[in-house]
Amino acid sequence: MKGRLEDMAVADLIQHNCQDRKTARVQFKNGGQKGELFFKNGNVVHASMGNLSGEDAVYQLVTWEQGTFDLSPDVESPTITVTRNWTSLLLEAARLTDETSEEREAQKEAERTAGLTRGEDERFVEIIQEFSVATPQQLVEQLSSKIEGHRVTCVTQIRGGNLYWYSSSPVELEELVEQVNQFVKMVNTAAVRLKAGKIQDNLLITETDYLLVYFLGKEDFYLLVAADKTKANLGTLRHLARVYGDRMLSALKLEGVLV
Amino acid sequence: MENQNPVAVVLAEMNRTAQFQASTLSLRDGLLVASSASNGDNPAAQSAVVAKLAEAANLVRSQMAIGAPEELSFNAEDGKRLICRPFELNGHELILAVLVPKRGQPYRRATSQAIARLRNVWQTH
Repeated sequence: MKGRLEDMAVADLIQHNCQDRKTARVQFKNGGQKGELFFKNGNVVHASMGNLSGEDAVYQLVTWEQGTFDLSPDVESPTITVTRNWTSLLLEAARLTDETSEEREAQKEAERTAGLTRGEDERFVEIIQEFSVATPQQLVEQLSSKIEGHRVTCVTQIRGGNLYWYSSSPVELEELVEQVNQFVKMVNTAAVRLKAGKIQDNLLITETDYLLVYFLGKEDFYLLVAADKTKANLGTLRHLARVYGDRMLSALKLEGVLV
Repeated sequence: MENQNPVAVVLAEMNRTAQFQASTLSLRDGLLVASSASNGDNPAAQSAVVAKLAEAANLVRSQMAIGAPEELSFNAEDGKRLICRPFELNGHELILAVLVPKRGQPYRRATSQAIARLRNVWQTH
């Protein structure tokens, strides 16, 4: 059986072969790279890809999203390099894939924070500004300036409308906040019905944007950040919302908005 | 697996493999198509909740002129997450929702695979 990885993912191939308890060899090609997996009685027993073998090779192969595969039934593996159960193998692969993407996000954030593209003096001034006492509005603007593809940041109260805001693109803020308030109320209702406890944040991912709502300690207040999905990084967005959410909470207390 | 409805089987298999607490497949209006939940969870209530969330997501989308919702989630302080993934299948607007019990537990790959399998099941039944 031959096919394309665009039509059937490596993880799906592993699952189907293992569930059917097949003994087989699957060879993969992706550009100039090659790899292979061997199955025996419903488990992966050997994998190789370039210089890698065993589980490491499986985890690399699972990330391939394009290429071809060629399945030869009843071909026995020449060796055993994988002993982990296939379900556990796929779970670990999924975890590593998520971690890899988080690592990339963290690296991107670290580079940005270190100001690798800016002069040291400029970065020093920025650090001093960041760690001095800032008003809620200054925090909103600081946060907005750090988000690639930024659209809107606002601090708002469910019952009292928006308090502080900054917009990088045209938007009817009052109406948006009203809609988001409805959204937040529905999410809170959902959380109660599901007995999920107090909500920390909620996220809407659309075809084009991220919209993150981060609650500011008190249920009534939240920080809303919207950004262009093609430019913003979700890990960075969450990290910044958390960091600035905590700073915002202190600033709101200093302003007397929160007690 | 609680029944042999092929859609429910896909959900149950996804829950088992990815260790989700519960999952539902609903139409956008909240009508439950299939579910798989561990004891104590209420799929009908979850489905109604999911429909409310989808409605809320559409409200926000219409205001911001942002694209169609691809994923909607909330994180609770106790670590639970509800993930809702809307998708279209043969003209039907569906929402796959999963309740993820632990913080940091991966879900994207598992839900993407389940959606791909649901498409296959839908076509063959």
